[in-house]
Amino acid sequence: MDLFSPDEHDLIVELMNLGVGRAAHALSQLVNDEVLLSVPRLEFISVPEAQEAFRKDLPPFLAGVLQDFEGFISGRAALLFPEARSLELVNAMIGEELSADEITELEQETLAELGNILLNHCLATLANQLKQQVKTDIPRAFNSSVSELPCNLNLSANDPNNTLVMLVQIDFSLRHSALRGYLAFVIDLQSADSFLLALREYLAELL
Amino acid sequence: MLNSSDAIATSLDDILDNIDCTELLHSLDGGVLLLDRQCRIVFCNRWIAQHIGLPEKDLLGRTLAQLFPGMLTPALQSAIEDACLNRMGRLLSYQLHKRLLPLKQRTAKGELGALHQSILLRPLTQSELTLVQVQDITNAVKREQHLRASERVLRLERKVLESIATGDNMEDVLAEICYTIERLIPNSNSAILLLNEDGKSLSVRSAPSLPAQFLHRQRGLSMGPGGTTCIQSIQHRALVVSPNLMEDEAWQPLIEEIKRTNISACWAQPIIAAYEEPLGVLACYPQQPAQPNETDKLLLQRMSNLAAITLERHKRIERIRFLAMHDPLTGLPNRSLLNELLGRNLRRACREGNKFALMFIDLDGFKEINDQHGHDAGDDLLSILSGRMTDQLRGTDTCARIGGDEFVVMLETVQSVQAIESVAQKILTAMSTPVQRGQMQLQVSASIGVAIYPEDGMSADALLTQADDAMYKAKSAGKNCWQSASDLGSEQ
Repeated sequence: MDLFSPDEHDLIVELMNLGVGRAAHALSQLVNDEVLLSVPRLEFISVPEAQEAFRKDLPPFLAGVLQDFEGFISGRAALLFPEARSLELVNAMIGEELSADEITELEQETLAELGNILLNHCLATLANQLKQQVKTDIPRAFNSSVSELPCNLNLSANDPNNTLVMLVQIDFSLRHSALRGYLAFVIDLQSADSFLLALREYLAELL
Repeated sequence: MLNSSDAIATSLDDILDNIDCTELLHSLDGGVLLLDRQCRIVFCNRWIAQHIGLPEKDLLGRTLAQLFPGMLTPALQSAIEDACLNRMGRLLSYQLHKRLLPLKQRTAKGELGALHQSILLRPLTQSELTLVQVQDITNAVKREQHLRASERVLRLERKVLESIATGDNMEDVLAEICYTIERLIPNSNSAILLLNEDGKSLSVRSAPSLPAQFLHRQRGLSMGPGGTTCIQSIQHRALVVSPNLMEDEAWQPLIEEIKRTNISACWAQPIIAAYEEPLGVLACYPQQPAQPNETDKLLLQRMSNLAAITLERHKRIERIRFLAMHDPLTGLPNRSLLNELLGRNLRRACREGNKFALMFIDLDGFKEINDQHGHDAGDDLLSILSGRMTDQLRGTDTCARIGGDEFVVMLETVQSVQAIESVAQKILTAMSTPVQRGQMQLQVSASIGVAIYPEDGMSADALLTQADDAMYKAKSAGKNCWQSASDLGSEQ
């Protein structure tokens, strides 16, 4: 989708990197250990492309955290992991090594907070840098198969022509483990206009 | 006319319209707060007032930071501000925030205990307020701790079982058992003491985190009245607890030792094999005076069972190894072990430039004993003679039975032909001395052929052949004598 010019695209990548960097700093302080996060890839895709990409790129079972947001952009954001590795991430964060097959309610909550911190920082950084407002709802942890994912993300509820998906790869690197997850921002296109406007204003100010 | 589902919806609307929301919030089993943009409390439910321990009126209009000065973590503080001011929804989970609000609750025993919680901060859409939900997850935390503890036991148990199954070194498995106990009973050291062959004393076999001198000092703890905790546990076949060693009479002779090793109590669980056979003791030494609780007791029992399996398996393997390498009748090394020892001795003699001797010994008149008195008599005679033969040798020499009445003696090193002669002579005498069996006297003699490394051969095969040939020379020379392979040695 060529909604954004290369400059605008680069700016979004930069802002996302700034956002995950701040999230990493917040997480490092919480767990008293170094957490590194980076964004190797970011793309804007349409709903059908997103569905195709999920099928192709994501493992069959996912664990994730959902959070709705509203403001200069509105929609739903999700942090997605291969289900098998989400517990590993939580364990690495809290410095335990529980090998229970099922994630317990406490781990579920920890995972939700992890996603919460990450998504809040990304959205808040985007908003602050672009001098915009955004507010977020509370996070919800969920497990889903890849086929149920569009439903969880509310992809089909809206008119697919009016929805844009920002898919962000995100690499976690902790002292003893490293894993790759995805951030998916399902953005209402009406709000994408204000996003675009904000990006252009920001870039115009730079020049 | 309304259909039934419409009727239900209408009446539900009526009910909801008439519900007193405040009362509903007060009746919730969990904390609810409403904060304004300045983070001030504009509402709190009864649960919050109860768990903070202040009446509602003292809470309203104040921020949580004012209520708990200096007690809120920066993470909680900034999350509250972020939610109230910037409208960012937040979840603060227990695992990432062990300390949230300093709320207390009475435990079943009536004591005031910390309340484990997670907090949700939800900026409301219809107003400027932020809803704070405090969830009491104390029970979930307890369940989880329990789950973790039992899973840790299971995982460690599996690790021990795996290393037993894969035939890991017994020392490693025993050390693993000690480590497991030390991990699950914090601030303790652990040791495994084994019953010595005399069945009357104990020696430390594994104590991976105790100082080395502990291993030596505790060697050979003797049985008897007034024995230490470990000895008593063997005698009683049950867990014996000495909760405070400083005040324990039996431990007074070891008082310096326990001070140095920083141990204060001893819990001794006997390791019992099948048929109630005691093998040793699994000891846990807490660093503070203490009694084991039920979980500790269960752990010690499970670990001592694993230790028993490990030790029994080790014994069985040793037994199988022994049987594969020894003659079952006399207990002497068999041909396989002889070959192994001979090979080893050859390499050493070659390396160090030593001489050594092989004696091929065949009994004279043994077949007649078997024919006249039966195989039982023959077997008894062989057992006795093999014992006599071993008695003539040094500990480092080897006597092997390689056939019915054929033996090979290997003198590990020899300095002179005279020394060989002396041993050969002693063996001849020992063999020809009659054996009393009931009313009967059984008597045989021996023919011995001697080969010397390196003069008579440089390989095991060559030396054995030379010694065998020399033995036949002795037979032809009239038996009950010894012959050397080369003619260097003097003859009887």
